Amino acid sequence: MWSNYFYSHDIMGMCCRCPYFTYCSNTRSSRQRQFTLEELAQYDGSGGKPAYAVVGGIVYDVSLNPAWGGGSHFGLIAGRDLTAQFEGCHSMNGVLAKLPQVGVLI
Amino acid sequence: MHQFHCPVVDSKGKTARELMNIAAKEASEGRVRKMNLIWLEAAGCSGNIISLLDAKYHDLLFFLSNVVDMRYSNSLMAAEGHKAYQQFLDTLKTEFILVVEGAVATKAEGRYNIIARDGERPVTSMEAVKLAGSAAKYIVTAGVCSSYGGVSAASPNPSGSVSVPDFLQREVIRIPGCPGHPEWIMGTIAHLVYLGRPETDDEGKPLMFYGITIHDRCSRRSYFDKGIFAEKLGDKECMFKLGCRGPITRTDCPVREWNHNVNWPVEDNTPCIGCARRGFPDGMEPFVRY
Repeated sequence: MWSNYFYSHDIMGMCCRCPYFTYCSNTRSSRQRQFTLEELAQYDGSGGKPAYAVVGGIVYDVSLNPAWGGGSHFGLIAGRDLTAQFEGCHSMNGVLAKLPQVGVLI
Repeated sequence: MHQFHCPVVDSKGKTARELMNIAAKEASEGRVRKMNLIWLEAAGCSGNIISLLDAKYHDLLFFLSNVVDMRYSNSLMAAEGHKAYQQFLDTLKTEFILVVEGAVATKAEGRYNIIARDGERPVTSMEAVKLAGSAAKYIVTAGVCSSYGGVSAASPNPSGSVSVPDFLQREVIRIPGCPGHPEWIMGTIAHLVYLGRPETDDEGKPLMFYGITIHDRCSRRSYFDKGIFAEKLGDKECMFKLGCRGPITRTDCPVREWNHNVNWPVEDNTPCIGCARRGFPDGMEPFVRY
């Protein structure tokens, strides 16, 4: 069903909505990209760049998330480790499960 | 299959104009049931009473003739000084709607915001809102400051301003906006007078005006769906990547528009800044990001 997307690493689009996404070996390489804090800082959503945010060591792509207009979210800017801010605001109610993963923080 | 019921569909027959027309019909058939109304300007900019004055469909004269008896208003009433404050006190003994615009300043026992004098004694908005809030049949918070704290409560909040529902610890009907659209305010009050409490969301905002997001009705939505974004102000495409808050703000600005239904921010090439929602302005910043 998702075979059209297996070789395009389309984790922004259809793959992240697939129920087997977490287990899928075809997209695992995209989700295992490693970021240092320095590299992460580039992806702050400014100038049309992607907006990435880290929670619990996982790098999420929030570029098209409705609550992240302009790479900013209730006073926070993308391109940072926002674990503490996330835990201080969101209960674990499935917010993270809906976000595309692009890698891990090292 | 998840069944989604659009909250706006049911309210399509209850537009602001329709509600006001009900008021006119009741008046013409001799069944005028105007309610008393107290309009308090607390710690704010008076933007909402000015917005109300700008109403056209219908206008303020129609509103005052057919829907409410505005017994007290800092800006509009003819009486001054103690006579004005006495009218406020007298109205508290009747059945009335309380409209508050501006937040409640609580620091220094409320002395950051004096709105009247009782003889020689200054009356703070804190005291007036407390008095009227405990006696009102309905409380309507006009504008984002009274609804959520808004600009008056923005960091570092030197006046200790808080929203009216947080101050009174009582359920209110919120009409947020900076300012609130006159049709949202008058439509809600007309509904209260003739049809009782309107259906609201879990924050007390009437669904007929705040049912779905700006994003859902945006004139530039197809650009967003295709991933075509404006790179700077003045571009005609979707301004999401410049910081538009349309996706998280629930109002009908794209269809109702402002200033006699002429235009609205996005079609004037500026992104939505989320002025009608919790968190404005601090949580909605930066308004534009390049």
